[in-house]
Amino acid sequence: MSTTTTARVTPPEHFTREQLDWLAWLEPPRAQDLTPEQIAGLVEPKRAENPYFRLLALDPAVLEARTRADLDIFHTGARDGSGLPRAERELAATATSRTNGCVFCASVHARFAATLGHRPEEVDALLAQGVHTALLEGSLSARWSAIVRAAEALTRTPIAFGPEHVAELREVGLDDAALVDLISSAGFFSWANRLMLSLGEPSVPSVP
Amino acid sequence: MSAEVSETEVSGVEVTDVDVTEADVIDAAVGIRAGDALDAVRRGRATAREQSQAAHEALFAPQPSGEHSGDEKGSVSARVRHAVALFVLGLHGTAGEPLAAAHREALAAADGDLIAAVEAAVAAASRPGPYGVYAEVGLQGENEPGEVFRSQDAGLTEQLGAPLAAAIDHAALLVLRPREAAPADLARLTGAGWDTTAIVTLSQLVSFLTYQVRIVAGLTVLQETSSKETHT
Repeated sequence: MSTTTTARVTPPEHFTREQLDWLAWLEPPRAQDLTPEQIAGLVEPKRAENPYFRLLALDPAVLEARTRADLDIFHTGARDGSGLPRAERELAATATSRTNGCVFCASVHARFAATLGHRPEEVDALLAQGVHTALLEGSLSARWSAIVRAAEALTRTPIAFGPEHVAELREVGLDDAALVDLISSAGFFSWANRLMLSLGEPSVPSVP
Repeated sequence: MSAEVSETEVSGVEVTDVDVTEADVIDAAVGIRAGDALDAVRRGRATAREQSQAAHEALFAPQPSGEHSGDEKGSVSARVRHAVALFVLGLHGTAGEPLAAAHREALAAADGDLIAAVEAAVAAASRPGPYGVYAEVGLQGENEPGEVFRSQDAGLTEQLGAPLAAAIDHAALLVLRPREAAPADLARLTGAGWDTTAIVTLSQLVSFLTYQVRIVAGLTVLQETSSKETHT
């Protein structure tokens, strides 16, 4: 298999909140070779710097829909307090990525969850212990436990999300809008994890 | 509604006048109607709703694009798209059913003989996921080794044809043990004739469906619990 870079891969050893690189296993188009249609698919032109997005730009219509859905799911309503707070959307993304085993996605969204949620120790426990152990050990607050449990149930195949998860989430204060945000955030990472896990790999950045 | 969409896909007619707000695949699969509480909530995330639909249409009713529109090479046919969709949704059991119906119908029109082969692949590949062996050294204690599905071992390569068989094997990997994906899996796709653009499309198709089926499953639970609360 041809790889896109001669850079040596230094695989991360565990889930982490540290910054990781992502190296593509297939050759993405060069930024200067992107067609106008592919650039439109990137939504934000700056994404042309990123090999992951340049690779996905080979199917620009799907990339564009993916990116616009992603931005709405994670940002809309987060500032005006409608629906689930952003930190908890990121927590759902982290729990899903931890369950699927996507070390790269988990690193990005654990950073957001930890910074925005102001509870880095809970995020670190989730990363280090995994969903089941973190829940068993009582490493998470009641509200975060409910969110993580629901995200994990949605991530499994067959899908294990049921009325008991909705009841627990309502008990910790989620309304319909927040529930839909949770389902969307966790669901979206079933999509994202599979792309990032199967088209390339994470690497610890080399010290400059 | 979904039946309409699949007919236009098979005949190759461009879907130009479909108002996504009237033909939303997720709403149809969940049974959300205009005026439902969930309809209002979903419209509060209008972009997510519309773009989920746009992704579905880009994958299952792709518009010919630019100069490559007549080029067969690298494109993924409607037949393959619906067969892989039927397989992915089949791995999700009953949760996949409301979405699978349109793909089964489209596949029946495109290549009806394939349905039995895809369903045999679903039966042979189905198991609980996600599982697999980690690449990361520090996660070896969490490994959950499990079966690797290959159409060939199930005796299905001939019925599916080598390119589709490779696509279905890759779909099983992505759905059930995504943490095991490796460059060798992409080499298998390349060896079966799929180029980089087609691999991106197939990867998006499988991955998108694992999202779409979860949105449908989650919203269905919400829809059922809200209507119960209303009636009690």
